[in-house]
Amino acid sequence: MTLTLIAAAKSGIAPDTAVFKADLLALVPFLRAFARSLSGRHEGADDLAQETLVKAWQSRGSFVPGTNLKAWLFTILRNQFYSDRRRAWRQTPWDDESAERIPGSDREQAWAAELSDTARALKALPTEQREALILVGAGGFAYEDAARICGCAVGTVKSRVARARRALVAILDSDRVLPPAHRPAPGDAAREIMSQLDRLTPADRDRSDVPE
Amino acid sequence: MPHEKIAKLERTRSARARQEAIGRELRRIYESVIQEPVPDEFLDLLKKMELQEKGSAEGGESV
Repeated sequence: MTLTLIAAAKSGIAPDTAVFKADLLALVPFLRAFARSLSGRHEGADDLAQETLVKAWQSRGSFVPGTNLKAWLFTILRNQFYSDRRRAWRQTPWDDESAERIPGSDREQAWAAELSDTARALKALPTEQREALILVGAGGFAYEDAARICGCAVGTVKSRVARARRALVAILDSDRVLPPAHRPAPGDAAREIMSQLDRLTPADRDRSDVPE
Repeated sequence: MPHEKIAKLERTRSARARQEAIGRELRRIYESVIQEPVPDEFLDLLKKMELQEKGSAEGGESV
């Protein structure tokens, strides 16, 4: 902090600006972690964290020094996440689920393949449960701070976290029924039906000279 | 202790252990991002915003 102040004095920038910048920089790793776990994707998560920094910089006058800067930044990130998502919905005819099924870049797909079962299950949770669980279960926020970040009652956060925990177990259990290699790929069922239909069509009998 | 009661205790204990394991995994996922080096773009962005403000402050003074 002292070093930052000296540097600020030398560069002629108001000390509070330099301190604020240093504080923001120190919290960037947490913003990236929240952005990635909230959005459930690698691509775009850093953009979300950067948008948060810009918003925070622009509205730093409304930050009360001495209060929880991390919680303040997380609130901005969360609001940005929802407004980006609303915009994406307006621009595309897809619903949330189908949008998530559309594969991203190769890098994102590679990252998805490396995801642990828990990370995959986390992605499958409703967003409000996911954010509550991330804040309390991974980020170590108190229920009160998580409630402030999410703009809801403490009791709501508590019940969302509890529901999220139960849902994670249920998702992990249902995944365990089939090992990953044997999980049917999307479209497999349709292909199977089509091949069965093919076997039933008269055209198939006409081609009886084709060896099976 | 009746058999059912022991079985119930066992289930509670294993459910708790399971939740703890999931909790550890959640923290591991989150921590793994925190441990990543911060990409240069973040530092560049902060520098840019600071410089922009410095520039506008100086511009204001010279008027």
